[in-house]
Amino acid sequence: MARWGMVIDLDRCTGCGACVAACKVENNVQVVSPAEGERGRRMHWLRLLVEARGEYPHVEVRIAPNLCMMCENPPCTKVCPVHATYRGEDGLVGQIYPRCIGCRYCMAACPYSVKAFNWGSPEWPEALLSTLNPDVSMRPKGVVEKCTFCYHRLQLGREKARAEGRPLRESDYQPACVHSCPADAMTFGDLDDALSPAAQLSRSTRATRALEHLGTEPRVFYLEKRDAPL
Amino acid sequence: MSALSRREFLTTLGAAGVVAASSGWFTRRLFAMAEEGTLRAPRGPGVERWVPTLCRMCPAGCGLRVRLVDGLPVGLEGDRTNPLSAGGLCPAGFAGLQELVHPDRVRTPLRRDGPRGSGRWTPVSWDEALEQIAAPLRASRAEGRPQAFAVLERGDSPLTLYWLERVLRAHGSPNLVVDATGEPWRSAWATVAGTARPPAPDLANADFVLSFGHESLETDGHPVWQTKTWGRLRAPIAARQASAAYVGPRMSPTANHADLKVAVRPGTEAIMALGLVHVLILEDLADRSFLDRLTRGYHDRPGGSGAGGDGFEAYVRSRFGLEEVSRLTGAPVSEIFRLGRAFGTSRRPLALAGPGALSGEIGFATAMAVIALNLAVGAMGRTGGYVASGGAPLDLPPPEEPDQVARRGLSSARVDGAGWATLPLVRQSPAGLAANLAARRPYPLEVLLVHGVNPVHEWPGGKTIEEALAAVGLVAVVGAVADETARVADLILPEASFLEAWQILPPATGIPFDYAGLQQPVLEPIYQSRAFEDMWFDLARRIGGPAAAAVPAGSYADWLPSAAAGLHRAGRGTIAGGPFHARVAGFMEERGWKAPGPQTAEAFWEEFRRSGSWVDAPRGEHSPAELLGDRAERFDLWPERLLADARKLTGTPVADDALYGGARAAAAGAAGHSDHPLHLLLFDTSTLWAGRTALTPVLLEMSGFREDIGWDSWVEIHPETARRGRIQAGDRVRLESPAGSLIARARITPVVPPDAVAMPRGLGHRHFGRFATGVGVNPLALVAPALDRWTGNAILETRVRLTRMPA
Repeated sequence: MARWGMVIDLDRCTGCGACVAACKVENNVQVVSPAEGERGRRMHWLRLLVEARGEYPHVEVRIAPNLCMMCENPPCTKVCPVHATYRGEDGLVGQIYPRCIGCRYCMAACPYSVKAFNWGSPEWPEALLSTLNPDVSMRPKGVVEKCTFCYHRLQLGREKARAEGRPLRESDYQPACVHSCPADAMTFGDLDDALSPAAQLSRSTRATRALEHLGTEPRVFYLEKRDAPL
Repeated sequence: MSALSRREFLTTLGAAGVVAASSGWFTRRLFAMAEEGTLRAPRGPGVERWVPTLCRMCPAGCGLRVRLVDGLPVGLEGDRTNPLSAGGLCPAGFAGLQELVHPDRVRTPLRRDGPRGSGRWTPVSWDEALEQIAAPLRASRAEGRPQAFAVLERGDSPLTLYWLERVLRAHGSPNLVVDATGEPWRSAWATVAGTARPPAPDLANADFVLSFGHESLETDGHPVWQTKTWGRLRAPIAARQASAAYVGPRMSPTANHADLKVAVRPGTEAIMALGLVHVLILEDLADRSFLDRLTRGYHDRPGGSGAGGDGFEAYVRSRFGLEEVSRLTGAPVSEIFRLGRAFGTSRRPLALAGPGALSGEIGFATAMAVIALNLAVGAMGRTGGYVASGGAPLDLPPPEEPDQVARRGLSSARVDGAGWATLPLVRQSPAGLAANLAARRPYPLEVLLVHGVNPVHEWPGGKTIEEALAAVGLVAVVGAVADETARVADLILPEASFLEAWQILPPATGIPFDYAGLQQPVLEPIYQSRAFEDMWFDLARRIGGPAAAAVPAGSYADWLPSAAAGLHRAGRGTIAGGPFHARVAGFMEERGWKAPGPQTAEAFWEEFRRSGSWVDAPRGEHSPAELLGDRAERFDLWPERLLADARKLTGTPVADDALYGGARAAAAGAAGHSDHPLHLLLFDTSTLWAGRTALTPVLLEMSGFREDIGWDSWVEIHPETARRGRIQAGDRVRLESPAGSLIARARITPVVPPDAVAMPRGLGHRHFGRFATGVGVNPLALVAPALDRWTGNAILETRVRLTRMPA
């Protein structure tokens, strides 16, 4: 079974926000009202972590896309009292919405703060409803949600491969954020496949993982910025 | 879309079952909210189809694949086969579907009912609406005043411009006003090289890209193509690495990714460019052979006086000493040296200038200085330098001779003042339009048609523009959602979304190879909206006479295949099948092979529709001659003719070094405004795009996604400035300029210098659909309308005072 993972090259990422918008639209993530947003209830499965360092003009703004790390050893699944968040057989961390009781233990346990809670029912202006992605279910009030690595795309890809009578290829399954990155900063693939670009990049000397010392074994790798060639 | 009654609608849904969502709770909610006229959620067998088209949220036009389930669009992604965007999209692209189904789209043509601006409208038919425009046009032409008709156009589609120009020419009006932010850059190239089209930077082959306020990774040029190119040069296993440098006052996202950034005071980019030329001279890094052979005025100034018949070299040496440049720009001499050396020692350096550096008081001088810097390293007509801009060999009807009435009309002065209130080489002067309209100068206008531009919101002095429009007989605004300008119009014409319309998009400018993208509808228009080109054809036919004869029979979609036949007949290039395909095709072509392609024009059109784009691989060979206009033999370093024109225009003596001397004087006089001590820097973001895209929830929520700000504007303040004003992050602050004031939230960040604050453009709509109205503030309220006579554009420069609002 493939070990799906992602590599994000921080040297190439320009922080344009295409992945944020792509994710929001692909996964029907609700847009909360401006007032709710001000209370820190804005919902994103993928957002950018931004930190400015240094003094003008020698400023370096460091940007890192932050999404579910799909840990091999996830802290969130261990605290869920109802097994709503779990690690599936392909190693991806999933969330079963109807089972979730909204206790938010998993949000507290996640060291990467990538889970979002539905404080209210999703409100969509009626006209926009028709554009929602029919492959992704909506989440009701009171449940926790998070990035799924666009799991529905894996399902579609598997179906397609099966219909064509061939094994699943990497190109069959690319999350929305990876597909449309204008800087080609994100690479997605099977980390166990030695020929996969994602696997090769994840073994690069520049590769690192967030909060590695916690032992969560994330499947999202970051390639550190390179020193200026000048 | 057939109009079902609510009852019928709910019954059919109940019977058909639902694929839309798996949660029963959600489906109940979904259908409880459905209303007549909106698209319905997909139901039925769930048949999926992908249609290639183009994103038209910004002028770039990235390749797009739209996913349809049972005929309804439910998703989109970047088209990997597009030779420019190669699968990339920016955030705005993802809002395309939300814009398509925006609940406040204008559904039928609307006629004003009550006084202007009252907001009372009566739906009318297309026949009535277009007749209301055509009747006064017919009458004014019969009276010999065809010039009393003007079109204000956004100008991001060359074919649309072609048809506007053709019909207006036949009718006899010179008044096609394009809202061209690239005008300073264009007119500077026209001055230096005598060309009509500015050349394109060959970014893919440059090894050092120096950007003067050019936000290559955000909103200037073709951002996705530029980001892709930049990303490729950063690839972990790239054969060749390129460096990037940035000069400007704000450490923008593009600056952030530069290897070398040099901060300069606002409005001193021109000084820095000349300072770098000085470094090249001192270090003997200038391309002397190029300068000797192909430029005029480097060693001595032809016919000059005053600034000493000195050549450009001597002028820069004497007037732009490095200490002086350092004093004026605020950058240390060591930094200037470091940047100049890095630029000069690169094999294929290239310098860009963007609107941020060109829209100030000395924007034209900045453009000229940056071009001079490129000349100094010979970055002209060579691989990795500036090369001829790409286009597309489309089949267009041959030009027709205007009749006598039209000739008289065409010879009249332009209503925006381009060429008479500005320097003669300026072809577009959007900033001059409002002032002239209000004064009914040079003649009153009967009809003004506005398409894709929202001057009341996007230009400085919105209120004065509203008043100026009152002087026009009939104002018709074409748009999908009524904006501030539409509110004070007489007619609103609903425009189809780009997902409902046809277009062929050659590169506007700035792409170094030939290309054409095909935009095709993914569904029938939802409302009674029409593509702009279709309503234009219809209007021309109604005006009658030569205007009617200038357009083909049938719809715009009927005509497009005959234009595309030109691509087939050209016998070069290929239907795009991805970057790899384009490279292989180019490789073969260079060696005398031709990849097999469609045999007939019809087959070509079918292939074109399936693929979505056509491309001719970049040429390997270049020569400086391809950048020079027909009458030019060398690149002019001194704008002699321009100065003569300036003398004629103002009737006052203009010094020989008015251009760069003026830049120096402006920089030197910039200090010491005690009332308004801070510069205001305006910037655009890839979600707001100066206000045209920010009308859907997904983008409004992302308005300040890097700052963790949603649905609001913000002011960037340096920590030191904030400390002095006792301002903390998130505080409400007031910005006051001589022209106006506004209140916004403070964001404290070291990306702006202590003597400036920065604000994003694009929010603060007073009237732009239910989502965008009232969100954030419009910083243009702080800028007084002022015309730059050198470029015809508005001067987007002002100073402000910052105070904290009491809690």
